[in-house]
Amino acid sequence: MEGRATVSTCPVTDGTTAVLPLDAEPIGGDELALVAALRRGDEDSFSQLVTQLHPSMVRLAQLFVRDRATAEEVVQEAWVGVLQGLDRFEGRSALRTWIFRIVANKARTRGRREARTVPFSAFTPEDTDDDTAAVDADRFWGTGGASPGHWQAPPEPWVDAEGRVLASETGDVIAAAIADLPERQRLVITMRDVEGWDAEEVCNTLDITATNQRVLLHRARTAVRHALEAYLSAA
Amino acid sequence: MIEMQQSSEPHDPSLGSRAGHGSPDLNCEQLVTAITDYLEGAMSDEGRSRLEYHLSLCPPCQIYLDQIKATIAATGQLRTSDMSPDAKSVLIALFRTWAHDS
Repeated sequence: MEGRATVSTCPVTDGTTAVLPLDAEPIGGDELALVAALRRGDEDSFSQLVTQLHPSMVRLAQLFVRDRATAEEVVQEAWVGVLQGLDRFEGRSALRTWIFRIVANKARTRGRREARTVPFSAFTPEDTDDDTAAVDADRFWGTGGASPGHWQAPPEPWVDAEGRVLASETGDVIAAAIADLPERQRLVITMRDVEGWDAEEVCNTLDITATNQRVLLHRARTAVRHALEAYLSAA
Repeated sequence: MIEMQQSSEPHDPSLGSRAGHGSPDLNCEQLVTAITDYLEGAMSDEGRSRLEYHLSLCPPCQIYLDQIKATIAATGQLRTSDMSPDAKSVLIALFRTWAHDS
């Protein structure tokens, strides 16, 4: 699956006419029915779709622009784009993927105007924000050490890990750690682990390869784990 | 450090022969480097087997894996689904206009 996602990653041109991967899941009957309902002006269907997607759309937009108010504006523009593009929506990708791409494109354009973001198109496989090790290299024995490559400072179990890690106070620690990440890592971990998107959806929305997506996710998760470890061992 | 490979194919961690406690094939640092590939199902069967073999023999790496999983679960708690009634009204009005005009 991952290998296919790599080759299917496609350039984003305009969200309403984005070229979609050949192996994108065709949408199901329920979604076709929803699109048909929207086209004939069914308000309840639109309202449900808004409830379902709007908060995620705002969070996605916020990754590219300066503040929440701007993100809300961008998402409103995106909804206009969705409605205007609905007749051209061919169901070659999931509706939500198509909508998120419109949001990402509009937010990226706005962010660029604000100089908040660098274009993802400038993103090469080697460019993963920084050259630092994804893991805490000093936690392991070096080549001259007692046991090269093995833990020198092994992780300590988090006492009552589940309860404490899931407690609301750690939410602030995680949010702060994510906010400190380089932009691309922040985007990927937010989409994957906060929003719960699958890898292919992230690759298609951000126009990155499956390998890049994994490298960015790996670095981001490693950093967040590290922040949690520091917090939990200090408490 | 162990470099992440940049090929587009699913890859194994560098399966070197550096021995240590645990597996003869894979050391702890390599496991940590490959942990996301493992969780993403992006490893070959062989790489996965070697990683799981190492895990079965190495309690600190089991702790590390558990912590990564706990981190992912906790990050998912940040998701909220709040939306202001005002924002929704604006969008419904927008939809009515669109439906009327089209």
